[in-house]
Amino acid sequence: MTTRDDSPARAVSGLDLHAVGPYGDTLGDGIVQVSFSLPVPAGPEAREAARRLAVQMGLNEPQVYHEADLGYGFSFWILYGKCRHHVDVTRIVVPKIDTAPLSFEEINALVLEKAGRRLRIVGACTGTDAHTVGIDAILNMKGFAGEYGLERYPAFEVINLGSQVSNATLLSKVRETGADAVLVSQVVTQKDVHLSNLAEWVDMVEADGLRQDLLLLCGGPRITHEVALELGFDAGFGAGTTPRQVAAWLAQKWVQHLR
Amino acid sequence: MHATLPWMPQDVFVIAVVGCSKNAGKTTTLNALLAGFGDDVPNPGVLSIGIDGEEVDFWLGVPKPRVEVRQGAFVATAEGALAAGTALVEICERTGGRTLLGDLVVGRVTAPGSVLLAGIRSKDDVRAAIAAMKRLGVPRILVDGAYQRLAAADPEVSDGTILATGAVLGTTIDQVALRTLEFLQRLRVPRSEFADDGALMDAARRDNRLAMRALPAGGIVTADGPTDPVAVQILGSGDAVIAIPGAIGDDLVRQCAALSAGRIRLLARDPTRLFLTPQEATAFRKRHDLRVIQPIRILGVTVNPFSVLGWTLPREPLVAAIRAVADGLPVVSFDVHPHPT
Repeated sequence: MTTRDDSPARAVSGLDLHAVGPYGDTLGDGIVQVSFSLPVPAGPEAREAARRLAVQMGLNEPQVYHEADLGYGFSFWILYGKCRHHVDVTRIVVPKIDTAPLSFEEINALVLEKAGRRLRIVGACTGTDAHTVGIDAILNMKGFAGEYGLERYPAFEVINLGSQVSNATLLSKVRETGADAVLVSQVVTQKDVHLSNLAEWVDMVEADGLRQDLLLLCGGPRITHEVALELGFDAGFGAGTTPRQVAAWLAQKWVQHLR
Repeated sequence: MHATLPWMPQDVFVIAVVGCSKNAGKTTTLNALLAGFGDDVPNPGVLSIGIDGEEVDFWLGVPKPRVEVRQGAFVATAEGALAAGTALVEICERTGGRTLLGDLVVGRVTAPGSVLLAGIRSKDDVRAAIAAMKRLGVPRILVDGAYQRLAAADPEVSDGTILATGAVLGTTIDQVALRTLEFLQRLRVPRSEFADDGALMDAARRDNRLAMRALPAGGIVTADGPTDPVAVQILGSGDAVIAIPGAIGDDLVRQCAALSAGRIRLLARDPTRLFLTPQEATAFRKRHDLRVIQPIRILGVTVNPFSVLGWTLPREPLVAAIRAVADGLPVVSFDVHPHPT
């Protein structure tokens, strides 16, 4: 996502940051568009059901702008309405990755000059997770989005354990290799099973007395830096993260760690 | 004695609140404890491993109870997180920890309200915050765990632990009771009563290796793991006692059991070092023994009948079911609105 101006105070003149709501055509109108499918055929009853749902979603004056029967007893709806809710932007605190963007060359130079050696990084998809596309994009030589993966960096020695690695196996590998950083990938689910797995991993590292010697990272399409911190990791990387962002974070945090 | 906490012993200084799961009711428990201290403990301290006191759940987006603190209470949090609460906090000490939200600080509440507890992620951070609060004369400290993390329950960190459980663990009372029982069994591993076992664990911790001896009268040896030739020889010769200084997972106990010709007494430092699935723990115990050097003192269980996922279980039958699996521990359910605004 591109941020054009990260200063909310300069976003719109006259805006009350204590009560920000959706913008449709004019400031404060609260207009939003929602779309959803219903498991009932299109018709007057389904139309009223869609409107009532929109009211329960917090929308006043819901109006149906589009309806379509999808067949097999389903229908599709687009509605406009006025959102009843506001948020106080001044009370929102969101931790963000704070390291500077660095080039491939800068990252290698920083690590090799300041640490005097390569950083050893162990990566794995843990638990039952078999989705390695994310961790492969970050770690493998070929990389992602036109950037090299961490294996290509002279500053890093990468050990990618692949998928469905238990936390206990990962811990054994960390001990065996003397890793400096561990990158865990999880496709987090709504059932929280992957979150439990991540929480257990951090507890296991603590229980083994290794926490202060390791940088702990996690990543996945539904991971945020905020969730990662709450789980006890040092950083979390979400969808769209490129290898160089992870590499820059590792290099700068390791140098801070050395201090 | 506390009006709402008649079961709270007076000799615990640091109390950990851990959950059987995310959204089990840790924050509600924390608030009830803070309120329940009353005039007995006018200036309690509170901190969280992870983040607590946020307005909405990061994951589900639903409202969460805020952490409410009275005037005179102490909090440990990141300096930048102070702006997210309504309480006014005067910074008393910086612990030396740095976070993305600024320095870790310990502050005194000068005007009551809500606080966001953030920035503390490791046991070392917790120890630093507790040390700072002790210097400031805080008489009792609550440490909130994140998700179902157990680090705060480590007996070297806290003097006692309260377990929060609730309807979020299952859609039926039986499911919630079963999962609570599994969690309690994990926390309630018995202490070893053999005098020599402490010395064996000391050796394991000193060398940061597995320490063991053949029973009944072998000398202490240390090994890299159960497949180390020294360990294989002892395990293959008969009964043995093994002390493991760090984390213990399924793989390790399975290896020990497979190599053993006799019975093993496996020692962990404390229950927070054990990461065994209930199935593996049960299988191991059929032939062997699992003990800790330092048990966790569980002070009680709190029960939240409301699930953030949308269902509610009947309070009294749920409490009764938890009481039935809690083996004599105090079990309470705090009366709170399920969806605070």
